[in-house]
Amino acid sequence: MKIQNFHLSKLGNPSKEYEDSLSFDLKKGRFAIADGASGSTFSDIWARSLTETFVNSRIDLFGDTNGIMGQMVSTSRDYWYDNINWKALPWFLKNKSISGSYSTFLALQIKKVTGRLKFKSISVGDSCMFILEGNKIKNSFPIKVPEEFGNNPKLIWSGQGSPVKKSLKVPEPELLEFSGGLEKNETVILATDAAAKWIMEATEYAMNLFLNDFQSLDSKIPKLINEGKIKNDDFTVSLLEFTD
Amino acid sequence: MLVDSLSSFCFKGKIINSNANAKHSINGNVLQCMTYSAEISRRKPGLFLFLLDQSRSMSHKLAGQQTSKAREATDAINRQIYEIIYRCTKTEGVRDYFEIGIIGYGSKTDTAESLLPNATIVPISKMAENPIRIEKTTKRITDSEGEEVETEMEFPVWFEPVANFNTPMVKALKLAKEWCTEWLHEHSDSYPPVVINISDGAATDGDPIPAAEDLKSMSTSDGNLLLWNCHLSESKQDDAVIFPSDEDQLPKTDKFSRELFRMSSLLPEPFQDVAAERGLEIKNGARGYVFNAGLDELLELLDIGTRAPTENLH
Repeated sequence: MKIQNFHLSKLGNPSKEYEDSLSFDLKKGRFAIADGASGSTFSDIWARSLTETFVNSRIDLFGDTNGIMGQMVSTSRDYWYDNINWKALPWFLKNKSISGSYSTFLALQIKKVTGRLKFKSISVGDSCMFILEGNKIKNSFPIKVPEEFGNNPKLIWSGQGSPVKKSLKVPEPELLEFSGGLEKNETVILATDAAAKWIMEATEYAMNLFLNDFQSLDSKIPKLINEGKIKNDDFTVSLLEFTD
Repeated sequence: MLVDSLSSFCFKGKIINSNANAKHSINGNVLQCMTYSAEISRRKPGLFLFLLDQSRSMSHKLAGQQTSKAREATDAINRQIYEIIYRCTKTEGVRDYFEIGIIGYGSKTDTAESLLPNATIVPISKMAENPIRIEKTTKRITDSEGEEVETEMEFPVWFEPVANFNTPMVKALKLAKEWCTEWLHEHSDSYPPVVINISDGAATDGDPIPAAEDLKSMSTSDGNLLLWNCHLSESKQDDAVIFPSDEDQLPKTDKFSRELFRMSSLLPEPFQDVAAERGLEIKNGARGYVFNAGLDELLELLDIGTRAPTENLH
Protein backbone atom coordinates (compact mmCIF):
# COMPACT_ATOMS: atom_id res chain seq x y z
CA MET A 1 0.00 0.00 0.00
CA LYS A 2 1.35 3.45 -0.87
CA ILE A 3 0.09 6.72 0.55
CA GLN A 4 0.57 10.34 -0.57
CA ASN A 5 -0.85 13.22 1.44
CA PHE A 6 -1.38 16.89 0.83
CA HIS A 7 -2.74 19.57 3.11
CA LEU A 8 -3.05 23.33 3.04
CA SER A 9 -4.36 25.87 5.53
CA LYS A 10 -7.13 28.19 4.36
CA LEU A 11 -5.38 30.84 2.25
CA GLY A 12 -4.54 33.88 4.32
CA ASN A 13 -4.54 31.95 7.59
CA PRO A 14 -1.32 31.05 9.42
CA SER A 15 -0.54 27.33 9.56
CA LYS A 16 -1.30 27.14 13.29
CA GLU A 17 -4.96 27.76 12.42
CA TYR A 18 -5.22 24.58 10.32
CA GLU A 19 -8.07 22.54 11.85
CA ASP A 20 -8.21 19.38 9.70
CA SER A 21 -6.47 16.23 10.82
CA LEU A 22 -5.31 13.14 8.96
CA SER A 23 -3.86 10.12 10.73
CA PHE A 24 -2.89 6.72 9.40
CA ASP A 25 -1.01 3.53 10.08
CA LEU A 26 -0.21 1.71 6.85
CA LYS A 27 0.80 -1.53 8.57
CA LYS A 28 -2.48 -1.73 10.42
CA GLY A 29 -4.48 -0.51 7.43
CA ARG A 30 -6.11 2.22 9.51
CA PHE A 31 -6.87 5.72 8.25
CA ALA A 32 -8.90 8.63 9.59
CA ILE A 33 -9.65 12.16 8.47
CA ALA A 34 -11.49 14.93 10.34
CA ASP A 35 -12.40 18.58 9.85
CA GLY A 36 -12.59 20.62 13.04
CA ALA A 37 -15.44 23.16 13.00
CA SER A 38 -14.09 26.71 12.99
CA GLY A 39 -17.09 28.05 14.90
CA SER A 40 -15.95 26.30 18.07
CA THR A 41 -12.66 26.59 19.94
CA PHE A 42 -10.01 23.85 20.20
CA SER A 43 -11.53 22.06 17.19
CA ASP A 44 -8.05 21.31 15.87
CA ILE A 45 -7.27 19.36 19.04
CA TRP A 46 -10.64 17.62 18.85
CA ALA A 47 -10.18 16.63 15.17
CA ARG A 48 -6.72 15.28 15.99
CA SER A 49 -8.04 13.43 19.04
CA LEU A 50 -10.61 11.63 16.91
CA THR A 51 -8.26 10.60 14.09
CA GLU A 52 -5.45 9.52 16.44
CA THR A 53 -7.81 7.65 18.71
CA PHE A 54 -9.10 5.58 15.82
CA VAL A 55 -5.71 4.86 14.27
CA ASN A 56 -4.16 3.86 17.60
CA SER A 57 -7.12 1.89 18.88
CA ARG A 58 -8.06 -1.72 18.34
CA ILE A 59 -11.59 -0.83 17.30
CA ASP A 60 -12.47 -3.28 14.55
CA LEU A 61 -14.86 -1.77 12.01
CA PHE A 62 -15.40 -5.23 10.52
CA GLY A 63 -16.90 -6.39 13.79
CA ASP A 64 -20.07 -5.21 15.50
CA THR A 65 -20.18 -1.40 15.09
CA ASN A 66 -22.76 -0.99 17.85
CA GLY A 67 -21.32 1.33 20.47
CA ILE A 68 -18.16 2.02 18.46
CA MET A 69 -18.70 5.78 18.38
CA GLY A 70 -19.39 5.91 22.11
CA GLN A 71 -16.04 4.24 22.73
CA MET A 72 -14.29 6.48 20.20
CA VAL A 73 -15.71 9.69 21.61
CA SER A 74 -14.96 8.72 25.19
CA THR A 75 -11.25 8.03 24.48
CA SER A 76 -10.97 11.08 22.25
CA ARG A 77 -12.55 13.27 24.92
CA ASP A 78 -9.87 12.23 27.42
CA TYR A 79 -7.13 13.26 25.03
CA TRP A 80 -8.87 16.52 24.09
CA TYR A 81 -9.55 17.41 27.72
CA ASP A 82 -5.96 16.70 28.82
CA ASN A 83 -4.49 18.80 26.03
CA ILE A 84 -6.17 22.05 27.00
CA ASN A 85 -4.72 24.07 29.85
CA TRP A 86 -8.14 25.05 31.19
CA LYS A 87 -6.82 27.03 34.14
CA ALA A 88 -4.64 29.32 32.03
CA LEU A 89 -7.32 30.41 29.54
CA PRO A 90 -8.12 34.12 29.18
CA TRP A 91 -11.75 35.07 29.89
CA PHE A 92 -12.93 34.96 26.28
CA LEU A 93 -11.56 31.46 25.64
CA LYS A 94 -12.70 30.19 29.04
CA ASN A 95 -16.28 31.32 28.45
CA LYS A 96 -16.49 29.90 24.94
CA SER A 97 -14.61 26.63 25.43
CA ILE A 98 -17.11 25.42 28.04
CA SER A 99 -19.36 24.71 25.05
CA GLY A 100 -16.91 22.12 23.72
CA SER A 101 -15.54 21.43 20.25
CA TYR A 102 -16.97 19.94 17.07
CA SER A 103 -15.58 18.03 14.12
CA THR A 104 -16.55 15.82 11.21
CA PHE A 105 -14.95 12.36 11.10
CA LEU A 106 -14.35 9.56 8.66
CA ALA A 107 -12.48 6.36 9.50
CA LEU A 108 -11.36 3.64 7.11
CA GLN A 109 -10.04 0.17 7.83
CA ILE A 110 -8.58 -2.05 5.11
CA LYS A 111 -7.58 -5.69 5.48
CA LYS A 112 -6.88 -8.74 3.40
CA VAL A 113 -9.51 -11.44 3.66
CA THR A 114 -8.76 -14.69 1.82
CA GLY A 115 -6.35 -12.93 -0.51
CA ARG A 116 -8.68 -9.99 -1.36
CA LEU A 117 -8.67 -6.47 -0.01
CA LYS A 118 -11.78 -5.53 1.94
CA PHE A 119 -12.63 -2.14 3.39
CA LYS A 120 -15.04 -0.78 5.96
CA SER A 121 -15.62 2.90 6.58
CA ILE A 122 -17.67 4.91 9.09
CA SER A 123 -18.56 8.58 8.87
CA VAL A 124 -20.14 11.52 10.64
CA GLY A 125 -20.41 14.68 8.51
CA ASP A 126 -19.01 15.60 5.12
CA SER A 127 -15.43 14.36 5.10
CA CYS A 128 -15.36 11.94 2.17
CA MET A 129 -13.90 8.77 0.79
CA PHE A 130 -13.68 8.08 -2.96
CA ILE A 131 -12.97 4.79 -4.70
CA LEU A 132 -11.40 5.29 -8.12
CA GLU A 133 -11.33 2.80 -10.94
CA GLY A 134 -8.57 4.08 -13.21
CA ASN A 135 -9.24 7.81 -13.34
CA LYS A 136 -13.01 7.52 -12.83
CA ILE A 137 -14.89 7.79 -9.55
CA LYS A 138 -16.48 4.40 -8.93
CA ASN A 139 -18.06 5.37 -5.62
CA SER A 140 -18.04 8.07 -2.97
CA PHE A 141 -19.05 8.04 0.69
CA PRO A 142 -20.97 9.57 2.45
CA ILE A 143 -21.59 12.42 -0.06
CA LYS A 144 -22.63 11.44 -3.57
CA VAL A 145 -23.07 14.79 -5.39
CA PRO A 146 -21.52 18.27 -4.81
CA GLU A 147 -24.93 19.81 -4.07
CA GLU A 148 -25.04 17.81 -0.82
CA PHE A 149 -22.24 19.92 0.67
CA GLY A 150 -23.65 22.68 2.86
CA ASN A 151 -22.69 24.86 5.79
CA ASN A 152 -24.13 22.59 8.46
CA PRO A 153 -22.68 19.09 8.21
CA LYS A 154 -23.25 16.60 11.01
CA LEU A 155 -20.52 16.92 13.63
CA ILE A 156 -19.15 14.96 16.55
CA TRP A 157 -19.25 16.89 19.80
CA SER A 158 -16.51 16.65 22.41
CA GLY A 159 -18.92 17.33 25.26
CA GLN A 160 -18.55 20.36 27.49
CA GLY A 161 -15.19 21.62 28.64
CA SER A 162 -13.93 22.31 32.16
CA PRO A 163 -15.33 22.70 34.81
CA VAL A 164 -17.61 19.90 33.56
CA LYS A 165 -15.90 16.65 34.51
CA LYS A 166 -13.60 14.86 32.09
CA SER A 167 -15.43 11.56 32.59
CA LEU A 168 -18.65 13.01 31.16
CA LYS A 169 -20.61 10.59 29.01
CA VAL A 170 -21.16 12.36 25.69
CA PRO A 171 -24.17 11.44 23.52
CA GLU A 172 -23.15 8.95 20.84
CA PRO A 173 -23.38 10.44 17.33
CA GLU A 174 -25.18 8.56 14.57
CA LEU A 175 -22.81 7.17 12.00
CA LEU A 176 -23.06 6.00 8.43
CA GLU A 177 -21.28 2.85 7.23
CA PHE A 178 -19.85 1.78 3.91
CA SER A 179 -18.04 -1.42 3.00
CA GLY A 180 -16.86 -3.48 0.07
CA GLY A 181 -13.86 -4.90 -1.74
CA LEU A 182 -10.94 -3.21 -3.44
CA GLU A 183 -9.23 -4.32 -6.64
CA LYS A 184 -5.55 -3.79 -7.34
CA ASN A 185 -6.17 -1.19 -10.04
CA GLU A 186 -8.33 0.82 -7.68
CA THR A 187 -7.31 3.85 -5.65
CA VAL A 188 -8.84 5.41 -2.55
CA ILE A 189 -8.93 9.13 -1.80
CA LEU A 190 -9.81 10.61 1.58
CA ALA A 191 -10.71 14.29 1.55
CA THR A 192 -12.17 17.02 3.72
CA ASP A 193 -15.11 18.97 2.31
CA ALA A 194 -13.47 21.66 0.14
CA ALA A 195 -11.26 19.07 -1.55
CA ALA A 196 -14.07 16.52 -1.84
CA LYS A 197 -16.47 18.99 -3.46
CA TRP A 198 -13.85 20.03 -5.98
CA ILE A 199 -13.05 16.37 -6.79
CA MET A 200 -16.74 15.86 -7.63
CA GLU A 201 -16.98 19.06 -9.68
CA ALA A 202 -13.74 18.75 -11.64
CA THR A 203 -13.20 15.01 -11.61
CA GLU A 204 -11.13 14.63 -14.76
CA TYR A 205 -8.72 17.45 -13.95
CA ALA A 206 -8.49 16.47 -10.27
CA MET A 207 -7.83 12.82 -11.08
CA ASN A 208 -5.13 13.75 -13.55
CA LEU A 209 -3.41 15.83 -10.87
CA PHE A 210 -3.76 13.25 -8.12
CA LEU A 211 -2.74 10.23 -10.17
CA ASN A 212 -0.07 11.74 -12.42
CA ASP A 213 1.22 14.92 -10.83
CA PHE A 214 0.63 14.76 -7.08
CA GLN A 215 3.71 16.85 -6.35
CA SER A 216 2.21 19.78 -8.24
CA LEU A 217 -0.70 20.15 -5.77
CA ASP A 218 1.49 22.44 -3.69
CA SER A 219 1.47 25.07 -6.45
CA LYS A 220 -1.79 24.26 -8.24
CA ILE A 221 -4.28 24.10 -5.35
CA PRO A 222 -3.61 27.69 -4.11
CA LYS A 223 -3.99 28.88 -7.70
CA LEU A 224 -7.33 27.07 -8.08
CA ILE A 225 -8.53 28.55 -4.79
CA ASN A 226 -7.55 32.03 -5.92
CA GLU A 227 -9.45 31.47 -9.16
CA GLY A 228 -12.55 30.60 -7.13
CA LYS A 229 -12.64 27.00 -8.39
CA ILE A 230 -12.07 25.56 -4.93
CA LYS A 231 -13.63 26.96 -1.74
CA ASN A 232 -11.04 28.77 0.39
CA ASP A 233 -10.93 26.44 3.37
CA ASP A 234 -8.48 24.05 4.99
CA PHE A 235 -7.73 21.48 2.28
CA THR A 236 -6.67 17.90 3.01
CA VAL A 237 -6.39 14.89 0.71
CA SER A 238 -4.84 11.46 1.05
CA LEU A 239 -4.27 9.13 -1.90
CA LEU A 240 -4.01 5.39 -1.23
CA GLU A 241 -2.70 3.08 -3.91
CA PHE A 242 -2.56 -0.68 -3.61
CA THR A 243 0.44 -2.67 -4.69
CA ASP A 244 1.41 -6.30 -4.08
CA MET B 1 0.23 5.57 25.14
CA LEU B 2 -2.07 7.49 22.90
CA VAL B 3 -0.79 10.89 23.96
CA ASP B 4 2.84 10.00 23.23
CA SER B 5 2.14 8.64 19.80
CA LEU B 6 0.01 11.48 18.53
CA SER B 7 2.52 13.79 16.93
CA SER B 8 4.00 11.24 14.57
CA PHE B 9 0.89 11.06 12.42
CA CYS B 10 -0.55 14.53 12.57
CA PHE B 11 -0.13 17.21 9.98
CA LYS B 12 0.09 20.91 10.45
CA GLY B 13 -0.66 23.47 7.76
CA LYS B 14 1.62 25.93 6.06
CA ILE B 15 1.31 29.59 5.19
CA ILE B 16 0.23 30.36 1.67
CA ASN B 17 -0.03 33.95 0.47
CA SER B 18 -3.53 34.94 -0.48
CA ASN B 19 -4.55 36.81 -3.56
CA ALA B 20 -8.28 36.52 -3.02
CA ASN B 21 -8.83 40.27 -3.02
CA ALA B 22 -9.66 40.40 -6.70
CA LYS B 23 -11.88 43.09 -8.16
CA HIS B 24 -14.15 42.50 -11.11
CA SER B 25 -13.98 44.98 -13.92
CA ILE B 26 -15.57 45.64 -17.27
CA ASN B 27 -13.74 47.95 -19.68
CA GLY B 28 -11.53 49.04 -16.85
CA ASN B 29 -14.38 50.17 -14.59
CA VAL B 30 -14.56 48.56 -11.19
CA LEU B 31 -18.04 47.18 -10.60
CA GLN B 32 -19.71 48.69 -7.57
CA CYS B 33 -22.03 46.12 -5.99
CA MET B 34 -24.04 47.63 -3.12
CA THR B 35 -24.98 44.29 -1.68
CA TYR B 36 -23.72 44.21 1.91
CA SER B 37 -22.14 40.90 1.00
CA ALA B 38 -18.42 41.68 1.26
CA GLU B 39 -16.51 39.04 3.15
CA ILE B 40 -15.37 40.11 6.58
CA SER B 41 -11.91 38.81 7.30
CA ARG B 42 -8.81 39.94 9.09
CA ARG B 43 -7.62 41.53 5.85
CA LYS B 44 -10.98 43.25 5.39
CA PRO B 45 -12.46 43.84 8.84
CA GLY B 46 -15.84 45.40 9.52
CA LEU B 47 -16.43 48.44 11.73
CA PHE B 48 -19.00 48.93 14.48
CA LEU B 49 -19.25 52.43 15.83
CA PHE B 50 -21.47 53.09 18.83
CA LEU B 51 -22.70 56.60 19.69
CA LEU B 52 -23.90 56.85 23.27
CA ASP B 53 -26.01 59.68 24.68
CA GLN B 54 -24.61 60.61 28.12
CA SER B 55 -26.92 63.56 28.75
CA ARG B 56 -28.58 64.26 32.10
CA SER B 57 -31.92 62.70 31.16
CA MET B 58 -30.20 59.34 30.72
CA SER B 59 -30.18 59.14 34.52
CA HIS B 60 -33.96 58.58 34.44
CA LYS B 61 -35.28 55.05 34.61
CA LEU B 62 -35.92 53.10 31.43
CA ALA B 63 -39.58 52.13 30.97
CA GLY B 64 -40.37 49.04 33.03
CA GLN B 65 -36.89 48.85 34.58
CA GLN B 66 -35.50 49.67 37.99
CA THR B 67 -32.27 51.01 36.59
CA SER B 68 -31.39 54.14 34.64
CA LYS B 69 -31.34 54.45 30.87
CA ALA B 70 -27.60 55.17 31.14
CA ARG B 71 -27.06 51.90 33.05
CA GLU B 72 -29.16 49.83 30.64
CA ALA B 73 -27.53 51.41 27.58
CA THR B 74 -23.96 50.86 28.80
CA ASP B 75 -24.80 47.31 29.94
CA ALA B 76 -26.26 46.61 26.49
CA ILE B 77 -23.17 47.95 24.73
CA ASN B 78 -20.87 45.99 27.08
CA ARG B 79 -22.91 42.88 26.36
CA GLN B 80 -22.83 43.47 22.61
CA ILE B 81 -19.07 43.92 22.57
CA TYR B 82 -18.84 40.67 24.56
CA GLU B 83 -21.00 38.95 21.89
CA ILE B 84 -18.82 40.25 19.06
CA ILE B 85 -15.68 39.05 20.87
CA TYR B 86 -17.33 35.66 21.50
CA ARG B 87 -18.08 35.26 17.78
CA CYS B 88 -14.47 36.20 16.92
CA THR B 89 -12.89 33.90 19.53
CA LYS B 90 -10.99 30.96 18.05
CA THR B 91 -8.49 28.54 19.55
CA GLU B 92 -5.53 30.88 19.27
CA GLY B 93 -7.39 33.95 20.57
CA VAL B 94 -9.62 36.71 19.25
CA ARG B 95 -9.39 37.25 15.50
CA ASP B 96 -9.65 40.83 14.34
CA TYR B 97 -12.67 40.47 12.09
CA PHE B 98 -14.03 43.76 13.45
CA GLU B 99 -12.89 47.13 14.68
CA ILE B 100 -14.79 49.06 17.30
CA GLY B 101 -15.23 52.70 18.23
CA ILE B 102 -17.39 54.34 20.92
CA ILE B 103 -18.32 58.00 20.97
CA GLY B 104 -19.96 59.36 24.10
CA TYR B 105 -21.78 62.69 23.93
CA GLY B 106 -23.04 64.85 26.78
CA SER B 107 -20.77 63.75 29.62
CA LYS B 108 -19.23 67.24 29.35
CA THR B 109 -20.98 70.34 28.06
CA ASP B 110 -21.28 70.32 24.27
CA THR B 111 -18.68 67.61 23.94
CA ALA B 112 -18.51 64.39 21.94
CA GLU B 113 -15.43 62.23 22.45
CA SER B 114 -14.02 58.73 22.32
CA LEU B 115 -14.82 56.64 25.38
CA LEU B 116 -11.73 54.53 24.77
CA PRO B 117 -8.68 55.88 26.59
CA ASN B 118 -6.14 57.32 24.13
CA ALA B 119 -7.78 55.65 21.15
CA THR B 120 -10.54 56.10 18.57
CA ILE B 121 -11.10 52.92 16.57
CA VAL B 122 -9.43 49.73 17.82
CA PRO B 123 -9.30 46.09 16.67
CA ILE B 124 -11.73 43.85 18.57
CA SER B 125 -8.83 41.88 20.13
CA LYS B 126 -7.66 45.06 21.85
CA MET B 127 -11.10 45.37 23.42
CA ALA B 128 -10.81 41.77 24.62
CA GLU B 129 -7.47 42.52 26.23
CA ASN B 130 -8.44 45.78 27.88
CA PRO B 131 -11.69 45.79 29.84
CA ILE B 132 -11.70 48.21 32.74
CA ARG B 133 -12.71 45.34 35.01
CA ILE B 134 -14.04 41.80 34.92
CA GLU B 135 -17.15 40.76 36.83
CA LYS B 136 -17.23 37.16 37.98
CA THR B 137 -20.59 35.45 38.05
CA THR B 138 -21.39 31.96 39.22
CA LYS B 139 -23.56 30.20 36.70
CA ARG B 140 -25.10 26.74 36.78
CA ILE B 141 -24.82 24.79 33.55
CA THR B 142 -26.36 21.41 32.81
CA ASP B 143 -23.95 18.86 31.40
CA SER B 144 -24.91 16.29 28.79
CA GLU B 145 -25.69 13.75 31.53
CA GLY B 146 -28.23 16.19 32.96
CA GLU B 147 -26.12 17.04 36.01
CA GLU B 148 -25.87 20.66 37.11
CA VAL B 149 -22.36 22.04 37.40
CA GLU B 150 -21.45 25.34 38.97
CA THR B 151 -19.05 27.40 36.93
CA GLU B 152 -17.53 30.81 37.28
CA MET B 153 -18.08 32.93 34.18
CA GLU B 154 -16.15 36.12 33.62
CA PHE B 155 -17.90 39.11 32.08
CA PRO B 156 -15.79 42.09 31.14
CA VAL B 157 -16.91 45.69 31.55
CA TRP B 158 -15.61 48.39 29.25
CA PHE B 159 -17.93 51.29 30.04
CA GLU B 160 -19.65 52.66 33.12
CA PRO B 161 -22.91 54.64 32.95
CA VAL B 162 -22.61 58.41 32.79
CA ALA B 163 -25.46 60.98 32.66
CA ASN B 164 -24.32 64.57 32.94
CA PHE B 165 -25.11 67.48 30.64
CA ASN B 166 -26.87 68.27 27.33
CA THR B 167 -27.22 66.24 24.10
CA PRO B 168 -24.61 67.30 21.50
CA MET B 169 -25.71 64.65 18.98
CA VAL B 170 -24.66 66.73 15.96
CA LYS B 171 -21.11 66.87 17.33
CA ALA B 172 -21.18 63.10 17.80
CA LEU B 173 -22.36 62.52 14.22
CA LYS B 174 -19.67 64.86 12.88
CA LEU B 175 -16.99 63.11 14.93
CA ALA B 176 -18.27 59.76 13.62
CA LYS B 177 -17.90 61.09 10.08
CA GLU B 178 -14.34 62.19 10.81
CA TRP B 179 -13.40 58.74 12.12
CA CYS B 180 -15.22 56.93 9.30
CA THR B 181 -13.53 59.07 6.64
CA GLU B 182 -10.16 57.94 7.91
CA TRP B 183 -11.29 54.33 8.26
CA LEU B 184 -12.80 54.22 4.76
CA HIS B 185 -9.58 55.52 3.31
CA GLU B 186 -7.93 52.26 4.43
CA HIS B 187 -10.95 49.98 3.88
CA SER B 188 -12.60 51.04 0.63
CA ASP B 189 -13.64 47.47 -0.28
CA SER B 190 -14.73 46.35 3.18
CA TYR B 191 -18.19 45.75 4.54
CA PRO B 192 -19.57 49.27 5.20
CA PRO B 193 -19.38 50.68 8.74
CA VAL B 194 -22.40 50.12 10.98
CA VAL B 195 -23.04 53.12 13.25
CA ILE B 196 -25.52 52.62 16.11
CA ASN B 197 -26.73 55.69 17.98
CA ILE B 198 -28.42 55.20 21.36
CA SER B 199 -30.26 58.24 22.68
CA ASP B 200 -33.34 59.25 24.65
CA GLY B 201 -34.07 62.55 22.99
CA ALA B 202 -33.36 65.46 20.77
CA ALA B 203 -30.06 67.04 19.86
CA THR B 204 -29.32 70.26 21.72
CA ASP B 205 -26.66 71.45 19.29
CA GLY B 206 -28.65 71.90 16.07
CA ASP B 207 -30.40 69.89 13.40
CA PRO B 208 -28.88 66.38 13.33
CA ILE B 209 -30.44 65.41 9.96
CA PRO B 210 -27.81 67.06 7.68
CA ALA B 211 -25.01 65.53 9.78
CA ALA B 212 -26.73 62.13 9.59
CA GLU B 213 -27.19 62.46 5.81
CA ASP B 214 -23.51 63.33 5.46
CA LEU B 215 -22.58 60.23 7.42
CA LYS B 216 -24.94 57.97 5.45
CA SER B 217 -23.59 59.24 2.14
CA MET B 218 -20.22 57.61 2.88
CA SER B 219 -19.68 54.21 1.34
CA THR B 220 -17.39 51.34 0.46
CA SER B 221 -17.65 49.37 -2.79
CA ASP B 222 -20.05 47.08 -0.91
CA GLY B 223 -22.63 49.66 0.16
CA ASN B 224 -23.38 52.83 2.08
CA LEU B 225 -22.56 53.32 5.72
CA LEU B 226 -25.48 52.24 7.89
CA LEU B 227 -26.79 54.54 10.62
CA TRP B 228 -29.21 53.02 13.12
CA ASN B 229 -30.96 54.83 15.92
CA CYS B 230 -32.31 53.46 19.14
CA HIS B 231 -34.70 55.85 20.85
CA LEU B 232 -34.89 54.91 24.55
CA SER B 233 -38.11 55.45 26.44
CA GLU B 234 -39.28 56.34 29.92
CA SER B 235 -42.90 55.90 28.92
CA LYS B 236 -44.79 52.67 29.38
CA GLN B 237 -47.87 54.08 27.63
CA ASP B 238 -46.80 53.58 24.03
CA ASP B 239 -45.61 50.29 22.58
CA ALA B 240 -42.20 50.18 21.02
CA VAL B 241 -42.11 50.50 17.22
CA ILE B 242 -39.38 48.35 15.76
CA PHE B 243 -37.96 48.97 12.28
CA PRO B 244 -40.86 51.15 11.05
CA SER B 245 -41.25 51.70 7.32
CA ASP B 246 -43.44 54.80 7.50
CA GLU B 247 -43.59 57.92 9.68
CA ASP B 248 -47.30 57.22 10.14
CA GLN B 249 -46.29 54.35 12.42
CA LEU B 250 -44.83 56.92 14.84
CA PRO B 251 -46.89 59.06 17.26
CA LYS B 252 -47.88 62.32 15.56
CA THR B 253 -47.00 64.34 18.63
CA ASP B 254 -43.41 63.15 18.89
CA LYS B 255 -41.28 65.39 16.71
CA PHE B 256 -38.01 63.79 17.80
CA SER B 257 -39.06 60.32 16.73
CA ARG B 258 -39.62 61.61 13.17
CA GLU B 259 -36.22 63.23 13.24
CA LEU B 260 -34.50 60.02 14.33
CA PHE B 261 -36.57 57.98 11.83
CA ARG B 262 -35.42 60.23 8.97
CA MET B 263 -31.83 60.01 10.16
CA SER B 264 -31.91 56.19 10.03
CA SER B 265 -30.75 54.06 7.09
CA LEU B 266 -33.02 51.74 5.17
CA LEU B 267 -32.57 48.16 6.33
CA PRO B 268 -30.55 46.24 3.72
CA GLU B 269 -31.72 42.76 2.83
CA PRO B 270 -29.27 40.75 4.98
CA PHE B 271 -30.45 42.67 8.06
CA GLN B 272 -34.09 42.18 7.04
CA ASP B 273 -33.41 38.44 6.86
CA VAL B 274 -31.93 38.37 10.38
CA ALA B 275 -34.87 40.43 11.69
CA ALA B 276 -37.36 38.13 9.96
CA GLU B 277 -35.65 35.09 11.54
CA ARG B 278 -36.45 36.68 14.91
CA GLY B 279 -40.13 36.78 13.97
CA LEU B 280 -40.20 40.53 13.27
CA GLU B 281 -42.47 41.69 10.46
CA ILE B 282 -40.35 43.81 8.15
CA LYS B 283 -41.99 45.85 5.42
CA ASN B 284 -40.42 47.45 2.36
CA GLY B 285 -38.83 50.72 3.35
CA ALA B 286 -38.14 49.58 6.94
CA ARG B 287 -35.49 51.68 8.65
CA GLY B 288 -32.89 50.85 11.27
CA TYR B 289 -34.80 52.67 13.97
CA VAL B 290 -36.56 51.65 17.16
CA PHE B 291 -38.96 54.12 18.77
CA ASN B 292 -39.80 54.00 22.46
CA ALA B 293 -37.35 51.18 23.03
CA GLY B 294 -37.27 49.30 26.28
CA LEU B 295 -34.42 46.99 27.23
CA ASP B 296 -35.65 44.12 25.03
CA GLU B 297 -35.91 46.31 21.95
CA LEU B 298 -32.51 47.88 22.63
CA LEU B 299 -30.88 44.45 22.87
CA GLU B 300 -32.77 43.27 19.78
CA LEU B 301 -31.61 46.25 17.74
CA LEU B 302 -28.00 45.86 18.84
CA ASP B 303 -28.03 42.15 18.19
CA ILE B 304 -29.57 42.40 14.71
CA GLY B 305 -27.26 45.32 13.89
CA THR B 306 -24.17 43.29 14.71
CA ARG B 307 -25.42 39.81 13.72
CA ALA B 308 -25.93 40.30 9.98
CA PRO B 309 -22.31 41.34 9.29
CA THR B 310 -20.98 38.38 11.31
CA GLU B 311 -22.75 36.07 8.84
CA ASN B 312 -20.06 37.25 6.38
CA LEU B 313 -17.10 36.14 8.50
CA HIS B 314 -14.44 34.30 6.53
